[in-house]
Amino acid sequence: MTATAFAPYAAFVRAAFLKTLAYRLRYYTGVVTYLIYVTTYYFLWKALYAWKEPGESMQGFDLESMATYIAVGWMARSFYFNNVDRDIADLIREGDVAMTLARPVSFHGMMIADAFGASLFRLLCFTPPVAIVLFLLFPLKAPATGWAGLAFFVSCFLSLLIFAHVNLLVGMMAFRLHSIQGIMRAKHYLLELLSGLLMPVTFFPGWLENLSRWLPFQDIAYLPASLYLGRFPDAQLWQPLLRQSLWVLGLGLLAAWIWSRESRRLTVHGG
Amino acid sequence: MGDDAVSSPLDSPSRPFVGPLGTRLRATVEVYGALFVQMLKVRLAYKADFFADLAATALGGLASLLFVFLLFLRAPELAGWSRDEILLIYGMSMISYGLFGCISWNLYEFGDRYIIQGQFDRVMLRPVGTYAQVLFDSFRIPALSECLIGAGVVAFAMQRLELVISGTDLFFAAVAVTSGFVIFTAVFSILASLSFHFEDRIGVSPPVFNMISFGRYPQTIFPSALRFVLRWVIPFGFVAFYPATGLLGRTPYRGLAVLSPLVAVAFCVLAYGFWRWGVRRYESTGF
Repeated sequence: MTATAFAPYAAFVRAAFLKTLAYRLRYYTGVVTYLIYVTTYYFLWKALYAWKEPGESMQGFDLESMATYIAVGWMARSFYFNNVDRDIADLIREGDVAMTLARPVSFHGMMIADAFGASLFRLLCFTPPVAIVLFLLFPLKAPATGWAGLAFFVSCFLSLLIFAHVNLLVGMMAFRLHSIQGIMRAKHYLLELLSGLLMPVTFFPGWLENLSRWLPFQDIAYLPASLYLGRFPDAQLWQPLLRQSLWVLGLGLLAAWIWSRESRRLTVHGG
Repeated sequence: MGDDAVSSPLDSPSRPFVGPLGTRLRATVEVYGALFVQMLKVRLAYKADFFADLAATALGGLASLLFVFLLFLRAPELAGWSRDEILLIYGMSMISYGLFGCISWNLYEFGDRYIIQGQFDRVMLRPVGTYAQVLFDSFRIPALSECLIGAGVVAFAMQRLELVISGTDLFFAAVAVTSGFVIFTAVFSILASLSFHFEDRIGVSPPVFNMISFGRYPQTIFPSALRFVLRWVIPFGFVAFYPATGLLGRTPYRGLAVLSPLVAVAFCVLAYGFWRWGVRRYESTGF
C-alpha cells in the first residue's frame, strides 16, 4: 500500500485523539479509578503473601515483584484499553452504522485507527499521571534492564492491537445479536482473568495455563509485565514480541474474514 | 429501539391521581406496574438476545468468582481468613450487587441518560414520584443471575464451614443482604443527585463503583484509613464483610455486624435529602 492509502486512517487517528481530548475531564476520575484497582489488588496480594517469609516467592514471584507486576499491568492497561466493542454496538443500535459503511474506507481499519488515536492520547495524558501516582504510593521496581523496559514499551503497542481486535470481534457479534451488553460484560471479566491482569498465568491451574498458551489473551497483560520484570533474557526479547505480532496478524485476518461474511447480513434500523 | 417507541399506558391513566390517599396509592402502584410490564416487553422483543445476555452475565459472574478460587490454589489462607470464609463474604456481596444491578442500575447512568440527554423532563411531567420513576424505568433481569450464583456460593461456603445456621441467622443474613443492596442504591443515588449540580456524562460514579470490590474481602487486610472510609464514608464494608463476621462468629466486629441495617437507613435518609435538593435545582438541558 502507498502512503496515500493510509492517509484517511491517519485522519481517523487524529480525530480520535481530539475527541478524547474533549472528554479529558473523565481522565481525572480515571486516575482515581486505576488507583483504586491497584490498591485493592495490592493489599489482597500482600495479605496472600502473609504466610510466607519476607522475600520468599510463590510461582516465581516474590511480593515485591508481584506488586510491580500488578501495578505495571494496570499502567499498561491505562494505555491499551479501548471500547471498540461498545462503539460498534452503539453504531448499530443508533443506526449510525449506515453512515459509517457509506464511507470509502475499511470499517476494520477505521475502528483500529480510532482505538490507536485514543490510546495515543492516553499515552500522553493518562498513563503518566497513573504511573506517577502508583510509583509514589507503592514500592515498585524499575524495569529489569534498559532493553527489558524498551521491549515492554513496544509490547504495549502490540497489546493495544490485540486488545482492539478482540473488542472488534466481540463488537461484530452485534451484527447478529441486537444487544451484546451481557457478552461485553462476560468478556470484560474473562479478559481481566485470562490476560493475566489479575494474576500471573503461572498462578493458573496447569490445564488453564496450558490452554492460555494457545490463546492470544495472555499476550495482552501477562507478556508486557513479564518483559518489564526481566523474565526473558535480553538476547531472547524478540521471541515474545514476534509471538505478539503473529497474534495481531492472526486476529486481523480473522476479523477481516468475519467482516466479509457478516457485513452483508447486517440489518440497519432507521437511526 | 428505545422505550419511547412503545406507546405508554401513562398517556391515559385509568385512575385519577387526586382524591383520598388510598386511591392515589393504588393509582401509583398501578403506574409502576405498567412501567415494569412495558420494560419487560421491550426487553423480550429480542428473545435470543435476552437469553444470550443472561448466559453471558452468569459467565461474567462465574469468572470473577473463579479468581477467588485461583488465589487459594497457591496459598492456604489470606492473612488469617480461609477460602470458605472469603467465599461467604464474596457470595453475600454478589447477592446485594445482583439486586442493585437489576433494580438500580439506572442510577449509575443517571447523569448521562436523564440529565445530559434530557430525559428527566419526561420524568418531571408525570404525576408520580421522580425517584421511583427513575428506579422503575429499567430493570436488568440478567443481573439476577449474580444473585443466584451468590446464593450458591453462600450455601457452598456455609456447608464447607459447617456453620450451624438457625432461623435467626437466616433472617439476619437476609436482612444483611437487603441492607447491602440498599447501601449500594443509596450511595449511587447520592452520586446521581450530584449530576443535577455538575452536568457530566459519568461523573464520579466509576471510581466509587470500583470500590465495591473493596467490600468483597476482609477489611482487616486494608490500612486503617481505608477501613475507616469503607465504614463511615462509602460504607461498602457493611455490605457483606461486617455482617458475615457475625455469621462466622468472629468476635472483634460483633458490634459492627448488626449495624448494617442502621447504616442502610441512615444513607437512605441522606440520599433522599440529596435527591430533593437536586431535583429542585433541575433546569433541563433543553434538548
